Amino acid sequence: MKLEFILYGFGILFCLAGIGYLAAEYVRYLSEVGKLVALLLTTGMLGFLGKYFQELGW
Amino acid sequence: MRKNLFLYLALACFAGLLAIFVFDGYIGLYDTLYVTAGEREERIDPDFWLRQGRATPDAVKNAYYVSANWKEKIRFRYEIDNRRFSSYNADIEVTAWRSQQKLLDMLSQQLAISAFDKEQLEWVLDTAELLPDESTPEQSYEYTVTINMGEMERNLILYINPSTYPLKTIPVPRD
Repeated sequence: MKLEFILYGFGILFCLAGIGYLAAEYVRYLSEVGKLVALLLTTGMLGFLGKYFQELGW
Repeated sequence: MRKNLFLYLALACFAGLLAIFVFDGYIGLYDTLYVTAGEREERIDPDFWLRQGRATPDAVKNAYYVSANWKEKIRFRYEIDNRRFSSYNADIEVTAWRSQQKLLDMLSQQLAISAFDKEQLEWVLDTAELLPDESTPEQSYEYTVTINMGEMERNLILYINPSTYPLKTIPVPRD
């Protein structure tokens, strides 16, 4: 059971690292306006996702 | 219903993020240079200049190497794609340099490209015009071809290959 959680943890970590790496690579080529809009959308996405989990009772 | 609304909004933001990457990648000013030396056409994509500008130190950035043969003519085709909502106006100058000295003006004109339109410029460089009078086919030479357009600068290093077999003068037989 514990091993499964460790593996899940590794999986999540690798996913986040991959997404982070891809985002950093793409963001380098975005214009300044594009970066600002992307930041606003990311904030909105995380905010709404947080609200969704809050409504679920997490 | 309300909790799903937040999930849909989060998904909409994610879709917006993806759309921003695609849209931002498409919008902009893109220049592609085609160089034909000999029977080879080389295409220098806008990505090349972008990558060079970020990856290398200032001293060598934005340089692309093209080789040509002794006294060969090189054809250039420069495509400028204005994928923006406003028109693009700039002066374009193409010059050849060696040791920080300007040797030749190849092109000088004004550009006016309307929004989401393309412009194509062509010119020919005769390397014989660049080579010094005392040059010999056994020697190699390097020149810099610079394209200045508005705030952009593109540099090409032109390498003139030495002849593998030196030209020999055959004496005329006398009767």
